[in-house]
Amino acid sequence: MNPANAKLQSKAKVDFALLLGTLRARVLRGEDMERSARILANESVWKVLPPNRALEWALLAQSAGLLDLAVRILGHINAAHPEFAPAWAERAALLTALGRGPEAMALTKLAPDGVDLSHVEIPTRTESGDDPVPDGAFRAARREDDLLRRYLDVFRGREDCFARQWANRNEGTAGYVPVRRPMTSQDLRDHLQGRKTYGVYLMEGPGTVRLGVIDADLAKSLRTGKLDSAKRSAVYRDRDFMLNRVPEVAAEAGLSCLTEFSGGKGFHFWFAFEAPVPAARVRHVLGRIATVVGRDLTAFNLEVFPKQDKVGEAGLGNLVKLPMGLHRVSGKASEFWPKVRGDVWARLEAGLGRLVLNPASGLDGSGPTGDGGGQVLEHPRFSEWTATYPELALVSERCPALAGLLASCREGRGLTMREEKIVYGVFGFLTRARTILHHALGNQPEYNPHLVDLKLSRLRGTPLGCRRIHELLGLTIDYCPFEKPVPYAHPLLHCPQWSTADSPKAERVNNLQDALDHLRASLDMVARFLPARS
Amino acid sequence: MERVFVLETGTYIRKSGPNLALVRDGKTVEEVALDGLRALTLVGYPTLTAAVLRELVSKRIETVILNPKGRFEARLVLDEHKHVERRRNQYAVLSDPERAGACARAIVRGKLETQARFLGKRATATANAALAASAARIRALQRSLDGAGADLDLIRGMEGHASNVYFQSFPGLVTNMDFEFNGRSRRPPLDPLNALLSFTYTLVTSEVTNAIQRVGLDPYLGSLHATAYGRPSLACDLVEEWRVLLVDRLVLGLVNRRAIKKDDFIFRQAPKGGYADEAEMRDKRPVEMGPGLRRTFLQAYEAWMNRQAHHPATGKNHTHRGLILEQARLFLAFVMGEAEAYTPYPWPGVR
Repeated sequence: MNPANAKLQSKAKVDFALLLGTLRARVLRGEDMERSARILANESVWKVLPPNRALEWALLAQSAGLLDLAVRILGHINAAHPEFAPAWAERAALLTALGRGPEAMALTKLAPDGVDLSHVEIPTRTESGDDPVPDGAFRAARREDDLLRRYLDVFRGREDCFARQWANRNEGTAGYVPVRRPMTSQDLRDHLQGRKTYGVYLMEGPGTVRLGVIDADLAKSLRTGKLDSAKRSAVYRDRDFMLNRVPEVAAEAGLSCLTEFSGGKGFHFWFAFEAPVPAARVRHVLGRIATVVGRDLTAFNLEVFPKQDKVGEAGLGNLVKLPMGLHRVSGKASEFWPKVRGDVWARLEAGLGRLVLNPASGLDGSGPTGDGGGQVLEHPRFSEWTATYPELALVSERCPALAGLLASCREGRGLTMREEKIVYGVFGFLTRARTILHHALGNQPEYNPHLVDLKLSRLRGTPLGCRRIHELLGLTIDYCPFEKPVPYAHPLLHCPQWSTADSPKAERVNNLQDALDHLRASLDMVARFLPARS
Repeated sequence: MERVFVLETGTYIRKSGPNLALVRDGKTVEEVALDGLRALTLVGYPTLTAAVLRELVSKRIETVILNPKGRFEARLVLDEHKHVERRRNQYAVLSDPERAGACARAIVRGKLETQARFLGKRATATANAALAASAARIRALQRSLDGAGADLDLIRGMEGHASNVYFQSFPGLVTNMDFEFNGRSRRPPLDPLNALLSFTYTLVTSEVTNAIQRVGLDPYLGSLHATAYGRPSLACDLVEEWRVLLVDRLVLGLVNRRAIKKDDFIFRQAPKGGYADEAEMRDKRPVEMGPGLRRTFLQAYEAWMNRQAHHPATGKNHTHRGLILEQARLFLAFVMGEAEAYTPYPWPGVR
């Protein structure tokens, strides 16, 4: 035995229990770690320890964060005491934990028989490691916050003040009181969820607004009691016409609007602007749109907000109830139009999704508003429809009575017999009558192509005149003006495609003799039912 | 609704037929049906009428009161006289140093197991060597637990050491760069993550306390946590196995998925001379969850606590809240001598 070995053996006989106990007390508590690390690293000690104590030494090194040292100690135990199975298992577990899977797997081949390392496996890498936590509430809250922010950004007026609606349900009265502070998103949340109802003072600055509104209210005479079917039909027709016509006329003026059913007696057409614009200008342009559309309406009255060009220092100016609020007296909620199913957030998202902010330059537009220079951007589907059915487009543009009927057809609302009679009685006399009637009536709930063809084949005479159409619809508006005076005014005169030559001739004109024969036969048949002369 | 949180300060709660009416500013803002209500958490000192109190007691509705900052303040304790035998056994078992030591070791072993597994899982997923090293350190401490015997000081020291290692590596678990974690801080929490962790630990501790009371044990005598005036030591013991499983995973998941944003918190300058007293510390804490965040977080917490997980001991799936109750029942079995030892929830499905 050489002297070095003899020295080691004499050291091996030293009892390290006290040292190990001290180390255990310190390392496991995490105290005095630097000094403990120096002792743990002392190779001359751990190499002479019996395997069970060397294993404990390795675990202490591992606890202290000396992971390479722990691997070395375990490797030493495996080499010096291969039969000591716990050290193999501990080494494999440590290598696996450190992401050194291949080395751990290699141990399964190195370990002697009787040491079971079959449980060693390389952990598979998952995608992210993040747990699938329920973040739906946050996604919903973020979406709500975004919608509230957008809403506040669009429907804005005076910043330092807004209005709260009050109601006396016993007396059926309601009004607004000013709330002299900026509106918060919590206020808006209360408004949308029906807890409170708020309005906005439109005048944002001295004589400027970011919002203009055309308020369409049902005529007072139509608000009380239950309407008969003719009046109800007239209201629906006017409504459909107005809901199509206001955005159309606005588009001709270069403006876009968002339609809102006010929950009670009518509709609001909201015109939102990207930047503050002069209130006077907004009033002027919206006033022209209201005039153009309003002259063809009987069931609705149009009113423009703001009503002032500017307000005094003490005044607050006009206010308008914010969209999607609950009317405190009627209890009805307003909705963006067309209505969408879903909760308040889905409906708000759909409404705001349709909103287009108007540039301030949009107010320089012309068209029917009359001020020259605006460029109209037509919807591609509308352009396509105009190109395919120019007759319908022309009549729709020039004849408010038929425009209302055609709007009802587009909405798929079932026509009354009188309305249907008018559609056949007018468009049935065009050259392309069949195509046009099938297109116009194709959206009807009870559309039957064979019946349409049959009714068309029975058409005789001349197109229905304006006077008869107004009588059938119960309209009180003026007749459409024509460039030249005409003896018999009817809507097809608006169409250059129509000519009298296209009109089907009556049988009596075509074959008078046959007509007389038919009349004679008919008289004979009636005579058979008469009582015999005494 | 089974569980209702009343968050707004100044709420007045009165009975309205078969419902509880929540009144603010003189107006009823909401009505909650008493039928089916299992738990009521009141935040920010609302006012209750005597009729409401009588209903809460007679229907045995768990009622917890948190202060406006979300810290546990009180609970409506019902008379549990039926379970005197259980509590007598609890006092006997936990007063025996050997059995109390074994119980404390089991609890710490369970906690270290979840910490090591969680770090190991994330280390594998993100190929993060530092997380792997921390997992290995905690694993070694866990293996050394048996050598601690009934030495409660050493067991507590090992638990503290493991927690230090765990929270040193915690920044490696946060992948959302908007959030920083500079060590665990409490009373007051110094950053948003600590604020979230503290708030959620309070909620889960309250759940564990409820479960302990439901099985008829005394939440104020434990083994790992020494007895102290007003401290529910057993609840503090049994919540250890849930810290990683129910709290850290939820908080990190929401933060890393960017569900929670830094703007959701309210930040304040801490006073230069430190806090004068506990009340000032509560009022002027440097960071706290904003009201909107607290409301939304509680919804996420409810969804999380109602998520299903398998429990090997019963062979059934339970909600997370149900798992807490099952573990309380297992602890009861240990106390009553029906089980050799208490076994923390083994977190099946994750290695």
